[in-house]
Amino acid sequence: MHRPALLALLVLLLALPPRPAAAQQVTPPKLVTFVQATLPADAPRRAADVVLLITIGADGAVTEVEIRQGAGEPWDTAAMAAARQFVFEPALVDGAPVPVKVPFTYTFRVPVRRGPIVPQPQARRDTERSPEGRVVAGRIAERGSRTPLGGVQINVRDPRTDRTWTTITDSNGRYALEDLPAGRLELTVLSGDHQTLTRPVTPAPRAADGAVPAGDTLYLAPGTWTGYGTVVKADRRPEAASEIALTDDELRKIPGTFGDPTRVVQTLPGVSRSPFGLGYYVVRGASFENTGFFIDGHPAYYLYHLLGGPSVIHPQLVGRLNFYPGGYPARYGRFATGIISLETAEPPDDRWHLDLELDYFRAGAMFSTPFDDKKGQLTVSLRRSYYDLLLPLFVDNFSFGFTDYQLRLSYDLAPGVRAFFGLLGAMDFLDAEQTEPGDRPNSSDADLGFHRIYGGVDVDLNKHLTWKNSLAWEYDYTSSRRTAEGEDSINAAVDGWYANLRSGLVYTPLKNLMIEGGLDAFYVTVNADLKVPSLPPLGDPRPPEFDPLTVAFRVTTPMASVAPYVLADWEVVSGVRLLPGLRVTGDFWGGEVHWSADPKLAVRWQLDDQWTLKTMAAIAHQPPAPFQADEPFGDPNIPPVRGSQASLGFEWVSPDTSWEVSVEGFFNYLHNMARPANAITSDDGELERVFFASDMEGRAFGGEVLIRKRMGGRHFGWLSYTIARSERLRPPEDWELFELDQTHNLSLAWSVLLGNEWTFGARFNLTSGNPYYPIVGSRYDADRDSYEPIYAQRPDRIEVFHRLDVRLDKRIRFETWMMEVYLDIQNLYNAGNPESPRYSYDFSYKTDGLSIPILPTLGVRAAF
Amino acid sequence: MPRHPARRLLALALALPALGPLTGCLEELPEPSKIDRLRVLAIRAEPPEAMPGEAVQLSALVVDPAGRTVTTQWSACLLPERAFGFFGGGSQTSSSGGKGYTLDDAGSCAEALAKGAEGVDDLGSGLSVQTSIPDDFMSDEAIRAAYRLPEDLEIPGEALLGIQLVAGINMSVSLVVQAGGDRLEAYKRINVSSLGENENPTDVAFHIAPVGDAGDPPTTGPVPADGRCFAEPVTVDAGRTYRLRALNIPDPQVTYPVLLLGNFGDPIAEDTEVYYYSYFSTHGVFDRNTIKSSSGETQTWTIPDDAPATIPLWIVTRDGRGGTTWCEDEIAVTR
Repeated sequence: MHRPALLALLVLLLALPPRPAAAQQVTPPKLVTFVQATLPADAPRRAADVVLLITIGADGAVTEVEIRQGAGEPWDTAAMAAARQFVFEPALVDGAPVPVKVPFTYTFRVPVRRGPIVPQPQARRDTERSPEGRVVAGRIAERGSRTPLGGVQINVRDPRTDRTWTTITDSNGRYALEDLPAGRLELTVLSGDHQTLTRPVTPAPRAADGAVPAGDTLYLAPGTWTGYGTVVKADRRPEAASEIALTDDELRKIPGTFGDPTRVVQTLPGVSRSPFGLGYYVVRGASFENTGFFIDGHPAYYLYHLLGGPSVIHPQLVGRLNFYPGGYPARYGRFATGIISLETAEPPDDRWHLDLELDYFRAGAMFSTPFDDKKGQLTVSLRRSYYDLLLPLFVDNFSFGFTDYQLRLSYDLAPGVRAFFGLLGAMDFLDAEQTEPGDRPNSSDADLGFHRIYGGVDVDLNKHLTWKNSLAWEYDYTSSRRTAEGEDSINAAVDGWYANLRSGLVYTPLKNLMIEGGLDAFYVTVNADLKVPSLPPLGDPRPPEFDPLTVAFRVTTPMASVAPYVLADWEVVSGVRLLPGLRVTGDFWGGEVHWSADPKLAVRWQLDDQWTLKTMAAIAHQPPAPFQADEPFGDPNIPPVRGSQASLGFEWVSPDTSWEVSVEGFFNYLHNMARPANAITSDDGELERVFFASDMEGRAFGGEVLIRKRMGGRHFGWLSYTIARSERLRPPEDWELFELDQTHNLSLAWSVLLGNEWTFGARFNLTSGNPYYPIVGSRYDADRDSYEPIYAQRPDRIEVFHRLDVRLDKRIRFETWMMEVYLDIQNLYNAGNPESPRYSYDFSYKTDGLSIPILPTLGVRAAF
Repeated sequence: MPRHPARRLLALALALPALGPLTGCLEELPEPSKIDRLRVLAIRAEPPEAMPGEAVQLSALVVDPAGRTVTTQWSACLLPERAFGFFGGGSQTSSSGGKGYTLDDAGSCAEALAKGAEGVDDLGSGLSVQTSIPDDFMSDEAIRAAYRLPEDLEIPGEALLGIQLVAGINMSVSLVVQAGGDRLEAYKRINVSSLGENENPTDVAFHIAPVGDAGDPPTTGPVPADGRCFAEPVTVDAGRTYRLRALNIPDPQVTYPVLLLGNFGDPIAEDTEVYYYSYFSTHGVFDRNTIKSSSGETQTWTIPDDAPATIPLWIVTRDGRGGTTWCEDEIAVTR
């Protein structure tokens, strides 16, 4: 999200009337009230400078604002609107106020590193000039990050006369004090957030052509007790009744998440704990597959590397994550419950950046650089694990690893025309040999991954209308092989690709009305080359070992969908926002078009500055997975899953907006869910097997509480609590608990700055155990030489899950780069938390199942 | 003191997390080949496949290391097939352990007998009993019940023929065994079809030799008498590991048609018999619980140092489609 570059104290001194006679005393106008520009919610995410010419009346009021050099819409309009509300102390000539025109550059920055600063070239407040005409100039940047510091006060004092000259740095951190005396002076740099720097300077003469010398760059270290930056706040209005937006350190410094923004979602209300910390999302009682994950607006099916590894996207590339647990905006679709939308970040464009990261298991690098013409930039990243190098030191029959990469390119083709292009991908492999006592030796290997290419262009057609377009093509693949002595090998190679075109117009005709309409077209085809176990032959008792007859075949299942949508954000009366949406989808599978309509309505009623009521009702359809919708496994007549959702709640925001509380009740009903079936049916005079039935229904209801301290100050974090019940109806049985139902789910994630750039974070999770049906007996199958379990009629729950993760970060700054060292300890007190019970061969003995032990990770990151 | 304690500590700190996920802390569970309680090791039907109206002799291999008096109760009935779906049938399995194959679990004949349900034959007690297949066992109604076919589904003639001749339907036989306070339940299927051609494995014999013995072990040998596993009495040394090898494996093994009835082309496929040998004893450790004839593997058996003077050995041979036979031997142990 774009934010205006900040404000600090500002003094303007240019374009004054012709220099008066020497006797005249001139005082420049001083900005006393700065107003932040407001961009539309969907404004493109990029930096922009708008150069204005402001006319200030004798009373200090702004009488006129003109554009000297625009940056296009919506930045020009926003900057002008803000500038019209500025208030100045008027310029004075010999003590009398006079009208003046001053140039002013309004800078919109991408809030990645820290708060931007409003610039103003060559501001100065010296009241006495020196006839010697020497200059002190330079640049102020933050130590370590080299981020230019604007708005920083520069004092130059002559100790011989005790005279002081003062100015303020511009948005590039530059300053210049002219007409200074020769000799050794004392320069002091003052910034509220940084340590004061004092050093001797010797003013230099101007160059022969009169140019001011560039001078040195001075680096300011942050103050000992500097707080988190407050760059990013709830700067975009929620697009749904419930939307949780996370940014910056909220995404990368939550303990126990491997620094993965995608895993942070696990700590939010409405999200059940994922078994083994795998990081998949069970939202509001729905199944994993009912919540969609989007990267830059396009669906992502492959989120994590193998075996609970990190997410497939470099954390530093993630700019923002929006979580919609239900009633998501109509521009999204194809998922019956929730949406998680991740937006990649536009890196800082001030210079090149290099980010290196190394921990026990992986190393990564990210590099970004702006183009010379400052119209765009390029970012590349690469990560590679080295499990495969370490594991042979300990085991000789197991290896795995991953690689992922990203490339991102953005460029301003013309004012108001922003193009972007990217590559994104990951590749994983796994090789394992099974030699456990009692089992037949076998080996398995698997490869999986994806490659995505995407691009698009956003065009500001006029100040009210923006046209956004993006196209993504993604190839996903998985291939696995299993070979065992005396058996046919089993091979399953599944690959497929999708193409997704999104095109939408965002129209903001009025301040209180935004309308978006667009088209979401999607095509996917999945190919499977299988040499797999056949179905057990009818009547066959099956052998004592896994020793199936294999069949080889190829399956291709194309699916397509076209979905026009429209949504709006309409403040019908002050404080009452209606967020209606409608998405009509034509899904094509099994040779037929299946139409569905997803209406939605959310209402957010802001009662006052603190309190907001919110409610929503929505329907969302989800097409079946390709292999469920086509033969030989699927049924072309299978209907889409239909989710019916509703919620009601309120939000409270503290007067200083740093704290917020959200309380919400929800209900979620899922129709036509597919489940494995075991039936034989007749089709065209032949018996066929049916592998899926779509007769399962699901329902979930509960309440969610979020108490959140936003970033800023010394700490941030949130406490979330969900109480819920999720059930499934599988005819002919009655409603019963869903396998991943968790009645209580409490998460506390907090991060505190300890001073001297030490940060401590902790995450605690306390969750009801998942239900399971205990095994109460067994029968011996004399044909298969194995025992068949007998399950209890009523479910039990595994033990309560509780775990504490902690993270300690230390940032060490050098002048032009900085290093972060972190220790992330998952499961600090080594809680057992077995995920499921294990049984002996005859189920007569029960013991704890697999659990994740204490897992410390030491890592280091260097940012240049 | 180590010469470089800091370096070693660092190495340890680096290694521990990498090892953590791999080492795990899972408790070791007992192996099924170890007989330490009342067990049913096998049930044999003679013949293993039958035609309607045919008599079938049932016998069981029941062992109790405690040597208690064992009582048995046999019953037979028609039950719907258990899970035969590609994706686990009607199961509700899940990461949390699941409920199992609820929709496919039709219980057992023993359960039905205890409830007094109709259609269950009480076959009496003993380690060997006889039953006969009802003449109408292959009726349309029975086929529908066995494969859970909808009542209104008209079974196409070709499919009906495939079921009657190739797949058949299974009669389920339950055996309840009790000794002291222990109770076990076992079951077996008798495949009933209009052909009923399978036979139990015959000529089964085994060879045992210490691991490391020179020379190739034989592949054939005389068939032991009296249900024993070895043609000659066997003596083993305590603390030594032996190689066990099945002899007289048919080559080639029998092929037979199966009815796949999937959606993957030809519903009739040809499968080949494989012998699966399951090894059991009260003492020692077997390398694997089951050895498969097609794999060319041999079993190894490590005799414990504290083994008694004689230890029992049971080997059950199955053909993978219902045919079963077994042998048992007393092995002398020397120290």
